[in-house]
Amino acid sequence: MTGSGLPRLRAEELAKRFGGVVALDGVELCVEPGEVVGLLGPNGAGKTTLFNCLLGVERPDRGTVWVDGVDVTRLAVFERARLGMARTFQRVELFAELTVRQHLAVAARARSRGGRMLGPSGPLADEVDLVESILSRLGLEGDADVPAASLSLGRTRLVELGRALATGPSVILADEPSSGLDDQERSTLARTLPSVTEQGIAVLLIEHDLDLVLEVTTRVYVLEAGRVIASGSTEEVLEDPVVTRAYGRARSK
Amino acid sequence: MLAHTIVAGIPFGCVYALVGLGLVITYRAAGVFNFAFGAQAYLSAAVFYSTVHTARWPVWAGGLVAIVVSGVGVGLVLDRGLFRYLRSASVMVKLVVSLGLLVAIPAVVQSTGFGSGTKLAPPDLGPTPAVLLGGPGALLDTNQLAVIVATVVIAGGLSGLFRWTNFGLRLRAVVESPRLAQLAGVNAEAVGSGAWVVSSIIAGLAGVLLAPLYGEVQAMDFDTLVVAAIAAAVVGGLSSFSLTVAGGLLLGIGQDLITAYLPLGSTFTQSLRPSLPFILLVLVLVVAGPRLSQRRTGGDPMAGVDPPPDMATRGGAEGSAGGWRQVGLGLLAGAAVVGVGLVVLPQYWLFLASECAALAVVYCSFTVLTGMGGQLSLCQAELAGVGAFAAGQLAIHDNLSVIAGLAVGFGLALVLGLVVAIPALRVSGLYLALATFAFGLLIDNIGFSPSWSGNGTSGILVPRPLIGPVSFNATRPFFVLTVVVLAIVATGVAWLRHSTAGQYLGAVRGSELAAASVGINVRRVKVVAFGLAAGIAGLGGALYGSTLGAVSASNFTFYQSLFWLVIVAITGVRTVGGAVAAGVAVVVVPQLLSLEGGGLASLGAVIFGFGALTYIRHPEGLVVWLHRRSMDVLQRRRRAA
Repeated sequence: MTGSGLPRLRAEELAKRFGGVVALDGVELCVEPGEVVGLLGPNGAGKTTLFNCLLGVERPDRGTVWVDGVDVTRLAVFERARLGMARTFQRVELFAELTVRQHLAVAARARSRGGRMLGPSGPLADEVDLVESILSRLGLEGDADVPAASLSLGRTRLVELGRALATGPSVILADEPSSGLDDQERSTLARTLPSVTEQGIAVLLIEHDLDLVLEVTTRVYVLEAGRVIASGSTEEVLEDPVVTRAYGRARSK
Repeated sequence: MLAHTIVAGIPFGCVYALVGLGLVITYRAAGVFNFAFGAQAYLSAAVFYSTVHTARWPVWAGGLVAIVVSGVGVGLVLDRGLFRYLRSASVMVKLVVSLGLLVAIPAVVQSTGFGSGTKLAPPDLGPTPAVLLGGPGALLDTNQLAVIVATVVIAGGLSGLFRWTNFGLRLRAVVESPRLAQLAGVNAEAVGSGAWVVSSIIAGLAGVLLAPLYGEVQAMDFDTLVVAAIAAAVVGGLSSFSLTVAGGLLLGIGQDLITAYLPLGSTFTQSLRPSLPFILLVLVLVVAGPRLSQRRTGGDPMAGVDPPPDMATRGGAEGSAGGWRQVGLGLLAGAAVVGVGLVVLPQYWLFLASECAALAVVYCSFTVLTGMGGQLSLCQAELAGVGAFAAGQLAIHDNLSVIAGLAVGFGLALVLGLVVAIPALRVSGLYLALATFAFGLLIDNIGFSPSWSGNGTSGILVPRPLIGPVSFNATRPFFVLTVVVLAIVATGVAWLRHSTAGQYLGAVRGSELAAASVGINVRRVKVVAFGLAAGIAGLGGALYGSTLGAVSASNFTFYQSLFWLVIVAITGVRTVGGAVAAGVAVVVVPQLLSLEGGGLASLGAVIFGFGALTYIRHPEGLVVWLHRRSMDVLQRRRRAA
């Protein structure tokens, strides 16, 4: 899973217009193994469009996306997922009725079986190991057999993260994981996010909470009007006057 | 000639348009696609007929009572007593409830004694007999003129209401976003009720206006009418009044053009005329469906804000869906019941038991498609019919054993199921339900008429199977056979639930977005679900046909599709146990009712129809619910002891 030397996620020259509106205008982006990279920008800057184009929800007009060096630009969402692109949702998307463990088990099954549906009945040994290790890593053992939809928002965000991890991803795209969380849930998230990179998994993070960004990311990209206006180490970029102007205010100290 | 034809099509087109408007209003303002609209219209027509024709009231008085009392009254009862609690319920809940009403309301009317005997020569609206306008050779009579005038008045009135009145403004606000409207101080509840009143007036009016056009008052006409109206409403995107009217007129005129210009008397022409609405419906849904099904949620700015969890549909039935131990226990219990049944039951009840088992196999298709995959289909009966006719035709003409016929039925229905999956890949929710509905109607109306298929109303024979020297002709061995087939299918479904495909189905049911994000090919899963479910329906249909010995298209109508879905929804769409219970209920309940001398026979539909209301509180189905209740009681006893 590691050591290929290629970036986990790379995008080049991504462009997308909606009618007359330019949503993305030649975005370049690169996420290396084990990195947590932030994606910042005011509302309407094109963050969501960029995510959608990276994930295959939308097709860019121009440009290329690679996962581990594989060109995935023309692939569907589920095909990208099989090649190592996982995600969490801004508005939590759970499998209604499934327990936490089942959430992870489905993802693990999709990872090991892919498109073959005439698969074995019941969980396989290596799937069970994977699921249990993720449950304990995220501190979800206690809720494992509870319907995920009955958990608090903070816990469901962890379930989504666990589900993403169970697919055996190269890169996880996390869309505002902190939105709607209280302080305690937020700090759990801040502790958990960097730990998922231990196996060389990369994380690309859309986040409005600049303190959280500073805490968990090493590098950031700042998007404005569909262009990357700044990128580099989180500390430096957040002090950059271009960035503070784009945001309209400085980071709260 | 052309002008003649066009004018002649206008009255029916107007009725389609009118009913389409009624559908659009409740859908827009109250979020309910009212499948029971035709039943409401039928009720009004029955009241109109009873008062004017039987009790000799003047037309205006009967009309008033029919429209105000049975139209508005029923509409208000439905809204206040029922649908207002379902505003945020899932598509499936609303669908099951309105289908239940579609089943129950006509049955109630008929159990009052109205249904006995044909109701010929409904009262005319104008002079009796109706006067042709402009003498002999004229295009329209007074009844038809009344329809046209009413449509123009209603359509114009509605547009005015929406555009220029305070109520209309509020209605439009509620349509955009009920919650936002409420935040702005609009009483969305009252607006919803208002919409029901308006829609019910239209239903009442449609009943009164239609009675004379049909020449006889019967429930079936009103159901087919609603099908045409659905097509008109979908042309209007379930929101535009003017396009709905246009769609209705187009259909009315189109049907007359078909009759006028295609060769008369050919079976194709005969089946094409009533099928035009479904063809139009399928076309619109497949072409414009994706745009349509995105619209409703997309426009609501509050849609993304803390959506209230749909507790009713959550149920947590997954745990009781059962492991292998339960499957084994079920098989054992089944074997025991079969053994006892063979000894104890008389021939007739053994025959009924075979019918139960065969229908339970058909109902397992709902378990796979809706229970596991979360998809909706309103054409499972027609798919079962495909299996029955295939097995019958092959047995008669090619001497193929019906056992092999079961396999062929499975395969053929499966292929058709893959065709049904095409719209399922493009639309979801209500639009998917409508697309499958239209597809089923197509099979029913066009596919079942030729002599090599269902042979129209005369039907065909489906013999009992032979395996080598062993004949299953007699009731006892055949009963064993049906139960064995049911056991095989039930085990297969249980296996499927725990297999990879079953897990994927559960994921897609839960969230298509999330399923795709973990690498599941959602389209493929849906295709598999539709194909497998259709195959099971076809297999069950072949078995059912062999049970009955002779079947015709009337055994597999769109009404059966709706009725069966309602029954399985009541007993439990999530489990095989629910499917089996549905098979038993649908056969045994009418038998028990007719034990009392036959007077109660029509009560069956009333019970099942209103039984659909249990789905609101218990979407997991009565079987699972009862099981859980009894477990709770047992536990409490144990703790007490």
